[in-house]
This record gives sequence, C-alpha cells and structure tokens, in this order.
Amino acid sequence: MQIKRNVVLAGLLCGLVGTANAAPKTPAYFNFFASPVRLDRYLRNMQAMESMRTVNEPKLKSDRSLEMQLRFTEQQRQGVLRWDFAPVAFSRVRFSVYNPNPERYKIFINARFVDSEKRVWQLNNGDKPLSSKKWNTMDAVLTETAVVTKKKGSADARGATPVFDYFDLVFSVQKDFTAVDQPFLLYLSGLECF
Amino acid sequence: MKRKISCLIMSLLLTGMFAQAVQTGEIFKFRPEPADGDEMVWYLIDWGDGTLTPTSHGLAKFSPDIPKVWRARGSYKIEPKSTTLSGKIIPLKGTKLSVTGSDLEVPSMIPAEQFVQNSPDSSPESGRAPESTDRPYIAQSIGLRFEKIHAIDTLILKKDADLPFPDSFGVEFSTDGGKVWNDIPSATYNHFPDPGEKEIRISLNGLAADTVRVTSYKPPEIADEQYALRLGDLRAEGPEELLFEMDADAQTAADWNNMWLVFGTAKNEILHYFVGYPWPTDRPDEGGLMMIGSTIWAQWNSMKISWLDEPAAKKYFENVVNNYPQDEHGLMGVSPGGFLHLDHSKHYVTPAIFICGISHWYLMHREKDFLQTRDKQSGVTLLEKMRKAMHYQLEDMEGKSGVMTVQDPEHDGTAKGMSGNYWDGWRFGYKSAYENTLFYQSLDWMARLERALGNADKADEYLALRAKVKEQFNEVFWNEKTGRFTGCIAKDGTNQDYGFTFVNLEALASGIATPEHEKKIFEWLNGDRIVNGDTSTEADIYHFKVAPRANTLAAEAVNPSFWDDWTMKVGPGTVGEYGTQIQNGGHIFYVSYYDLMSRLKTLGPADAMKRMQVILDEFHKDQLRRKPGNASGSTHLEGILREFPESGLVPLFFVTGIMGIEPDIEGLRIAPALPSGWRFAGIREYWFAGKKYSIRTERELINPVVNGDQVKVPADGIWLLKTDGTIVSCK
Repeated sequence: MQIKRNVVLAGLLCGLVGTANAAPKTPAYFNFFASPVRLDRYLRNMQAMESMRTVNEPKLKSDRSLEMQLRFTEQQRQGVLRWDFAPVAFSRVRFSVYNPNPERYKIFINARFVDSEKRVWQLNNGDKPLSSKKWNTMDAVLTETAVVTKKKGSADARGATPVFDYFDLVFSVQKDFTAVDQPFLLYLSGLECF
Repeated sequence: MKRKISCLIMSLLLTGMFAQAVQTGEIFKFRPEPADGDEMVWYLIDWGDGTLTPTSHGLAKFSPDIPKVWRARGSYKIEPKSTTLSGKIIPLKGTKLSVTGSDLEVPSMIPAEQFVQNSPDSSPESGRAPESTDRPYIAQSIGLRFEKIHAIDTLILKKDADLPFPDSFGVEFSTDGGKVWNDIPSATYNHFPDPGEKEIRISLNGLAADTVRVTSYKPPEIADEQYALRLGDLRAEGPEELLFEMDADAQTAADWNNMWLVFGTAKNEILHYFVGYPWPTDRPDEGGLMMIGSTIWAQWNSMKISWLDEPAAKKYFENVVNNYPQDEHGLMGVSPGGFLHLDHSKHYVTPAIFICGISHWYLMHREKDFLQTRDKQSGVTLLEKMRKAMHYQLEDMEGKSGVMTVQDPEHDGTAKGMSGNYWDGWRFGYKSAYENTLFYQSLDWMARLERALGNADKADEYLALRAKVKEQFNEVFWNEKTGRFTGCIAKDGTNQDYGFTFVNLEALASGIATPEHEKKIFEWLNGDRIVNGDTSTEADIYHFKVAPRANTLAAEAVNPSFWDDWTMKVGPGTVGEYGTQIQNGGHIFYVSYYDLMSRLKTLGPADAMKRMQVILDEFHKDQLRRKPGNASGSTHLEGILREFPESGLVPLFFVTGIMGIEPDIEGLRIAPALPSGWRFAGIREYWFAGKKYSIRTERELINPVVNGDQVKVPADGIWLLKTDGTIVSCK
C-alpha cells in the first residue's frame, strides 16, 4: 500500500515514539486540511516560514497536505508553524512531514505543545535532521516522552490529561547551513491528537 | 412552616419534579447546567420527542439558552448532555415539560436534489451514498441542492438504518451552486454521539444558501478498513424570503444577508460565552460578534441591535450602559470597569459616544422609563448623565467655542501624548478631528432627543452650535498641503496628518465636511490624486480590498512619531511595521461602513454600490473569516473578526444606507437610496417603538402604503413612520 511504503517512522530514529500504542479510532482532535476553513484561522506561519497553502500532492492520509515555504537567512534560522486549538485534552500526537529537499540540506524539527497551564511539552529530535524525499512521521506519547517546562506557580504536569491551547512546529538549520536566502518547501500531512 | 414549604418547593423545582409548561408554537428556551472543566464543550439536547439539538462549543463554565418550538402537545422529558472537545460525554440534569395547546403542522421541507461527493474536490454526483475508501481521512459529503436561494432555518439529518453515524462532521454551504464552499463554525462537530433513530436538528438561523452539504472529515468504518459517509435522511426547512430583500442577483442578496448573519447577529458563530457578548471568542474560533459592552461601542451597539427582536441582548445593553462610570465633571469611563482603556489611558471621546448611543437607543424604543433608570453606583439617571456628558463637552472641553479641546496635559496630541480613543495606537488629543467628528454627531443626537422630550430650546441651541462646529472643523482640521483632514492639531502646534482614512471617512459620513473638502478627500482615496510623501498611494490605499488602509503615511515615516508605542513599536522588522498592523497600514473593516455612507451621500448610490460589490466579492470567497498573521505571529493585520463587532456595520449599510432608515424625533425616518438598477429593497423584520414591521421601498410606488405591520414607501422621497404606525412624507 502506497502510504505504508512511503512512511518512514522517523520517530524510531529520533526516539519520539516512546511507548505509543495502537491509536484509538477517533482522535481527540484531527485535521487533514479537508474543510474549507481558511488556514489562517488556526495556523500562523512565523519567522523564516514565509507562507503556507494546501496542495493535493504529496499526500499521505488524506487528499491534501500543507505546503510550507521557508527561507532561512543568516539572521533567521528558525521557521515556526503555530497551530491554535480550542482547548482540548490529549496525550499522544501523530503527524508526518515530507522533506523533498536534498539530503545535504539538513533541516531539524521539534515540536512544542503549550497547555492551558502554560506548561511547554517539548519533543526534541536531537541531532537527527529530516530524512530527504520521505515522510518523517512523529508519533509520541507526550506524557511519557516530552520534556515539560512549567512556569513558576503552574500545576505539576503529572496527573490529568493536559488540555492544550496551541502547538509550535519548529524547523531550524544550524550555522553550517549554506543555502540561506533560498526558498524551501516542506509538507505536513495533517495532525492527529489522541 | 412557610420556610419549610418554600424549601420543599425549591427542592422539587431543582429536582425537576415540577414539570415546566409551554404552549405549542411558543419559543421555549432550555439552558442546561454548565458542564465545567478545562476543556471546551458542546451540548446536545434530547427533547424527548425524537429530536436532538446540538450546540456549538464554548467554555465549559457557561451554557447556552437553546430554543425549541414544540409542535405537538404532550409531556416530554428533556435530557441534556455535554461532550468535551476530546470526546468525553457528561450527562447533565434534565427536566420535564408539559406542552399544551393545539398540535401544529410540521413545516414543509425545501424542495431539493440530493448529491454526494467522494472527496471535497470531486464533482457532485446524484445519489445517496459516496463510494467507500480504504483511507480514513478522505472527507466525503452528502448534500442538498435547492432550486434557488433559501433562508435555511434548520438542517435535519438522520442516521442510516444499518450503518454507523459519522462522529465527525460539519455543515458547509454555498451561494453559487457549489463553486465556493464555506463552513458554518457553529455546525462543526467531533465525537458526535450515536443518535440512534432520533432526528438531529441543526439550527442554521436563516443562512442564505442554494446548496448545503454535510461533510464528514473522517467517515465511519462501514466494513473492515472501508470508510464511507452514510446518512438515513437529510432535509432542510426554511422560507424562500431572506431578511434583506433586494432587486439584485441571487448571489449578491445571499452574500449580503450572510454578511449580516456573520457580523451582525453572529448567530452561526462559535461563541465561547454562548452569547454574542460580553467578550470575544479566541483563536481558532474567532468570528463575528454581536457587541462589546464598553462605552466605546455604545453607539455601534445601538445601531446594530436596536431594531432586532433580541430580548436578552436588549437587557444586556440596557444594563451595561447604566454601569459606565462618570466623574464629577461629566467625563465617561471607557467601560463598566473604569476610566482607563486597558489600564492605560482615558478616552475623551466617550461622552460623545455615550450621548449618540443612548439617544439612538431611546429614539428606537421610545421607552421613557429607560432614560430614568439609575446608575448602579451614583444613582444618577441616564438622562442626567447624558446632559452632564454634554455639559462636559461644551464647558470643560470648550466645545461651545466650536472646537472641542482635550485639556488633559497627558493627552496633548504631541509625540509624547497618550492615545485617547478607539484607535489606541495613535496619540490623539488636544484638538482632535476624530473627537470633534463625534462631538458634532453628539450635538445632532442630543438635539433629536431633547426635541423628542419636548425641550425645543435645548435642541435649537445644539443645532446652532452644530453649524458653528462644522464651520470651525473645516478651518481648523483641513490640511491644505495634503488635501484632507488631519488627525489632530497638537498643543505644540504639530499637525498630525498621517493620512487617516478612518478620520476622514467618518467625518464625511457625519456631514461635517464642505462639498469642496468631500471632493478632495475622495480624489485622494480613489487614487486620482497622490499626496506627496505618503507611503501608500493610488490603488494601494485599498490594498486589502474590503477597506482602505487605516493610514496612508506610515507611523514610522515621521520622527518623533505620533504613534503611541505602549503596545508595540513600529518600524522595519517590528511587529507594528507599516502594512502589518491594523492601525498602521493594515485596516479595520468597520471603516468601510463610513466609506459606503460617505460615497452614497457625496458620490451617489452607483459609486457606493461599486465599493460594496468589491466587499461582497471578497466576502463570497471566505465570508471574510480572515486572520492572517505577520512574521512575529501577531494576527492584528486585518481587523474583521473577534473584538470587532463593528464589522456588522458594513452589511448594516443596507438598512441605514440603501433603505435609509434611522430614528428621528417623531418617528422612523426612511430615505431610500436605491441603486439605479433596483426596483425594490426591503427588510422583512424591523422593530421600532415596540412594534414589528416589514419595510419595503419600491421605485414604481407613488404613495406610501401601510397594511398592518407591512409598510411600503416610494423610492423617491423621505418618509416618517410614526410611533403609532402611520406614515407621512417628510417633505
């Protein structure tokens, strides 16, 4: 099956999968860009991420994906996609990023989920860049894998399932990245939260 | 003993043992107890008669009033439940209801053809069931196509007899036969419980559409790894007639009505408080809003809601305006909470806005008791507060001289002054054109009120002063160099002219400008005349299409700047850089109302409609649900959604501009301004002085006609609908 063939469980490479079990059938939240809702109602492209739009190719689980155009500069080596939620509780996330760029352009990714207590649940991919010409799937149980940073006075992260307000998908390059000022495309398949 | 009986009755009421009673045909409202919790929730009411009503989602500490009209008498057990956004279902306390009266006929359905789509981009096909797919996230739709545009009140759907109901779906619609689809924020559900054999009735509140579809973004699994959307039934109820009727093409009429639905009543919006006030809804659910309770919105609130049959909104408005504080001199607070706007600065325009809003509200309702209601803190009546506010403008702010001046040294209009009005990014103060435009309007509204109350002398005094204010305004604020009104003249004499479109357009709409100045201003705005040094010129002024940029000279172009950087800095690379901030090169949509009214008044209906058509064309694409961000993540680039209920003024142009309806001293003034190609225009329901009317203007009509609550007036002429329901010519 095409989808399964193309999926690279980057999470396995990056240590993100943790103890993720089979996902429940209906996610607490999901979005595969199928509705006519304008992207800017819930997404924000920031810093080195110049623009975004839905496209029909490449696709993974639905008929569409999100094309993100980034342009890193000497000063701005980070591009952020912010995804706003109406407060919703979940503990596991799954999404895939397709990287059509050559292997030599090393683009790193991490995800930060911010909950209603303003705690930041961070998934790091360490020093592994996105694999080239493949879907890089991130599948992680936040409550087991994420590094949690809490603000002074906010509640402890253990216990009830956190209720999330937004998440930042952060793409970055390091100082040895030479292709600055050039546009790059990346694709996001969608988002499932359980 | 009495106390024990009272306690027993209260206890019985709370436990629902005493059934409530209602007549068939009446609107019954049920409010479930709030679900509580950190997640947002939506509610589903099982009415006990085989029907279910879902609501949109909101904060779990609130719950909505859910209306229901019963058609069959009997005893019913109402069972509510709530569902959190992650899918947790919480049963809530129900009640019993006794419905009496005669059984009513079931409303007829809108004739429709059913179609299906195997994916959102695929062509519609006749039939009842999309093909199954092995991919779970392929959105599928089942829809209805009507013969023409209808006002859809209710969409009814049922589960397939054999296959699962989609637990995730949304209602989408089109006004062009399915070329452009839009979502309905309040009718989008995840984790919808299995309805069994019950009928789901989704309120669409008169949405104008010729096509509607139910789209499941994750169709249910109907066989092993096979997914497909299946419904047992899909029907729609609602009349052919729209609220605003017009002799325009069907799409224009539908879009105009829907613009009012989004930004006027906000009935199909996700409202985190479950009502269109008191405070906005946050991302990602931002949309239209009915009103905001602060003093700053008092006039706009009255313009928007005073003609509606919305008892809860009326009650809120009348309560909140009695909570605006007023100091011993007469200056009004910015909101019920105090005198400072966001703990930052006073607004010296509040007395004018308060006067305009309350006068308008009174003249619409004619309830004298309202003017005698007393401030909760001071005990002063509303009428006394208004007169004191006017006194403050005339005396403390020297308005009687013809130019009102902000005397507060903190608001001196210089590059060190503080911001002092709605446009809180700018340091308006001292001799401010914005403040004086509102002052000019307040003289008119206070004069109308005083005359309506029998105080002709006072009214004459205000009108005489109004003429003086107009004369002074055109002298003091006109900038010969730029050919437009300046923002303000600072105490140090600086002319703060940044090409403020909002200042100039509201001034034009208020009628304060001379004909020569009107002409010059439109030459600038229409791009026929370039102002040297401006950052934005010609067509770029309307870069955002739906409204002009707030200012045509960048805040950062002048140093020291008139920009008040208490919230953000301006300049290259900053959050407030020109073109990326609503108040600095961005736009706030409401300004288009004054643009349309100005064009109607000075350039005529054809020019105004040309502008309106651009706005309607943009609305058609995405309902103007636009919230682009800048590179810093700030989404304050276009001021349309969320805290901008004044966006509803733009579709209101149909009522106040095309129909020309406005409350006046002895009644409702109707001064139609039909576009040349139109033979008629009308409003199906308009409330004035406690009575419901249907008001229509027709080009070929010679004399006005009143038949019960049906009022028809000729398109030529100015008419007065009096409080007793009779109509006379104003000429």
